[in-house]
Amino acid sequence: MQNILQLFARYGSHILFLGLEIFCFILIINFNKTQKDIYLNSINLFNGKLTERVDKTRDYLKLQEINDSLTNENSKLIQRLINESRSNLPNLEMDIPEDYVIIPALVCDKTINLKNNYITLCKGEKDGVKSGMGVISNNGVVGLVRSVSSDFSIVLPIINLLSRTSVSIKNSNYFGTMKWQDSNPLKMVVEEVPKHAKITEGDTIITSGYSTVFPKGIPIGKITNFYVEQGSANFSIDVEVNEDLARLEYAYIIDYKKKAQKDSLTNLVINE
Amino acid sequence: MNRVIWSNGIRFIVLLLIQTLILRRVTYDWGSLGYLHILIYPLFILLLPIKTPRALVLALAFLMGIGVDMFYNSLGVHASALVFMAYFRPFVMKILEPYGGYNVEDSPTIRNFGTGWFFTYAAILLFLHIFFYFCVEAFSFVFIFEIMLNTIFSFAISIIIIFIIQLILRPKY
Repeated sequence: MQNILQLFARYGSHILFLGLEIFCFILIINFNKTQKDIYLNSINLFNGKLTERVDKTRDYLKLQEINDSLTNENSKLIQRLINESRSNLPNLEMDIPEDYVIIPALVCDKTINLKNNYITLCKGEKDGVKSGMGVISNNGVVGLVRSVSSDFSIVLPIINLLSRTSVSIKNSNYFGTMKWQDSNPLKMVVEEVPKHAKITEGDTIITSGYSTVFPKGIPIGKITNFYVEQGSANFSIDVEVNEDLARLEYAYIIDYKKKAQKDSLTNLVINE
Repeated sequence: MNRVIWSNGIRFIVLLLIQTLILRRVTYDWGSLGYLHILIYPLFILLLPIKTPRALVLALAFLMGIGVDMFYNSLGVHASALVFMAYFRPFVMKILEPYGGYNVEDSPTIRNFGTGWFFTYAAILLFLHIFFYFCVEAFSFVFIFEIMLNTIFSFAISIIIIFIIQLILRPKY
């Protein structure tokens, strides 16, 4: 209290000056139209500027937070994009009988230049894949599922020396077994077609549908050449396949729902 | 002592009346450039005795200013300018202090300190007053050209009239 009194004693006139000036300005602003207008305009302008400044500063301070959230969101989106590209596979453009289940899958890995090639698909047991299921693409047959883990499956493709596929000639209905002999992934050979069969070059080779793996009528390739090996009773037919497995990106695993039924019946008859 | 109070009191009233009743009507209209004012009421503050307490000077300046404002219909404008001038009066006095110092009983008049001293003293404070007055009247430095023009011409005419009054009356207090 004493300090305040001392302050007044020493600076009283200065304080009085300030007080009077402030009072005068209050009077000026309240009782003079021109000055009032100017004052209001200036104050509005100033307030606007100040608000803008404050907003800018606040925005700037928030920038780190926004950055973080954006980075988070970005990483989520990237993750989603990767997952989508893996899960959003194009639909199979082929008519498959209704009693087949189709599981689209992305090709994870493959070899094409070995004798025994394998293809790895990014779908496994989790997605319902079992060993023995057929694998096709939009252009034809890819192979058979050989073994399955929870997330991946290994396919024995037609370009493997162990692979055998039951096929038939589209127009004449004779059937044979297709296997791979060459090192060219586009060339297959169909054997066991009887000699009396009528074969024309350019005819289409399709799946026979006799196995439980593939439905009938999936196109495989075209006949380029046919001949009879010396001492053989059957034709050997050279086939150029439609599907270039070297370029294969997506494949469709197909599962015959009535497979068990058909197999058990067959076994029953064979065992008798 | 009483004479000092009396003479200042009478001066207060007379200056206020001259300013508001006569000089208010001889304002020269410059059109877009504003007005030429003759302001002699600051003379009251100029002539207050040296020993007058600062606070009292400020209070009297405020009263005088408000009085003029009442008639000029510009409440606060003259008062703020006159308070501003009154506040700077001691500083100007300090700057102009004669070699031997002031006799605190004196009033700052021509008779006591001479024509040259009084002219400098009056000119500095009057200029401050008029400049501040026009600044507050315009209320924005956008009009700085008009403010300077008005200040210079009003200052010139006002200081001449104040000086003439002082030379004629030569008051002691």
